[in-house]
Amino acid sequence: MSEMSKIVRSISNLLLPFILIYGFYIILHGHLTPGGGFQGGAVVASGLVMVLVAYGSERFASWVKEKHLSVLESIGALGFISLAFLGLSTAFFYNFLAGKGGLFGDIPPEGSNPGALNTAGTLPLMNLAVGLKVIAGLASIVLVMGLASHYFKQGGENDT
Amino acid sequence: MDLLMGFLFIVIIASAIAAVELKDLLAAALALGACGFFIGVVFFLMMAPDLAIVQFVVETLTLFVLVIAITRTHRRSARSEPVRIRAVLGVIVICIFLLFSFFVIPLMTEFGSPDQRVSQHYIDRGIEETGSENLVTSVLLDYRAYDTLGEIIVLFVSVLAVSLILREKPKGGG
Repeated sequence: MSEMSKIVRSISNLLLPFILIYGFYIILHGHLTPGGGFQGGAVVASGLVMVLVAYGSERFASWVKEKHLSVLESIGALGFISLAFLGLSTAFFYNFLAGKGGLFGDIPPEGSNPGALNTAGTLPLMNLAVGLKVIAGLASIVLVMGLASHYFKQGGENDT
Repeated sequence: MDLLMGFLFIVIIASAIAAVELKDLLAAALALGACGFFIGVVFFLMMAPDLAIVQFVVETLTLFVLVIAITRTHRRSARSEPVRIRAVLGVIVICIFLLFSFFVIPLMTEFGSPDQRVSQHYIDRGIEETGSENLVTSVLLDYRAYDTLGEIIVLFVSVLAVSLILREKPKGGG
C-alpha cells in the first residue's frame, strides 16, 4: 500500500489519540460497562490500521516492527494463562483477587453501575491481557498482509 | 442413550481413521466432514445446541473450501449431469431437509427457556462472587474463561497462519 494524500495523513494524525483513548477506556472499564478486551482491542487495532492505510505499510513497518507486535501478543497470552494458573490453589481460572481488598479487590457498592474501577479481582487484568493480544494480533495480521501485497506487486512488475 | 453415544464415537473414530488413510483426496475430505458432523450430533445430544450449530456451520464451510480446492487442483469433472437432473436432485435434498426439520424442530427446547438453569445463578450471585458489575464480562472471563482461552488460541493460530504464509518475500521479487 502506498502513501495517501496529506489531507488523509493529517486527519489520521488528529484522530489517532482519540481512538486510542477510547479503545483503552473500553478495555480498562470492561468489568463495569459494555465492552472488554476483545472489543477495545479491536478499536485500538483499527486506529493503528487507519495509520497504516494513511501512511502505507512500508513506512508503518519502519515505526512498528512485526517483532514488537509478536512480543506484545505473547505477553498478552502468557499473562492470561498465568493469571489462570495463579488461581490454581482452588481451581484453574479461579478469581483469587475478588473481594480480598488490595489490587482490584473492592466489593462493588449497591446500585446501578456506580463505576467503582477497583473491583472484580482478576477480570480487569485478564481484560488487559486479552486486549494486548487482540491489538497485537489484528495489527500484525494487517501489517503482514499489507507488506505481502506490496512485495507481490513489486515481483509482478519485475516479471513483466 | 449410552449405546447411541458409543455408536457415534465409534463412527467418529472410524471416519477420522478413514480421513487419514484414504488415498483419494475427495473421499478423505468427505470422511473428515462426516467426522465433524457426527461430533456436532454428539454436542447436540449433550445439550449444547449452540456448539452444535457452530460445529455444523464450520464443518460445512471447511468441507466446501476443501472440495473446491480439490476439484480445482486435481480433478477435471469429465461428465456433468444435465441441468434438469441437478434440479430434481436439489429439490429432493431440500424436501428431505424440510421433512427432517419438520420432525426435529418441535423436539428442540423452546427459545429462551434452556434446559440448564445455571444462568439464574449467575444473575443472583455474579456480583458477589466475581465483584464485576458487568455480568457479561464476569461470564466471559470468570465462569466461562475456558471459552475465552479458546478464542485467544484461535486468534493466535490465525496470526501464525497469516505470518507463515505471507511473511516470506517471494523469490525473484522485491
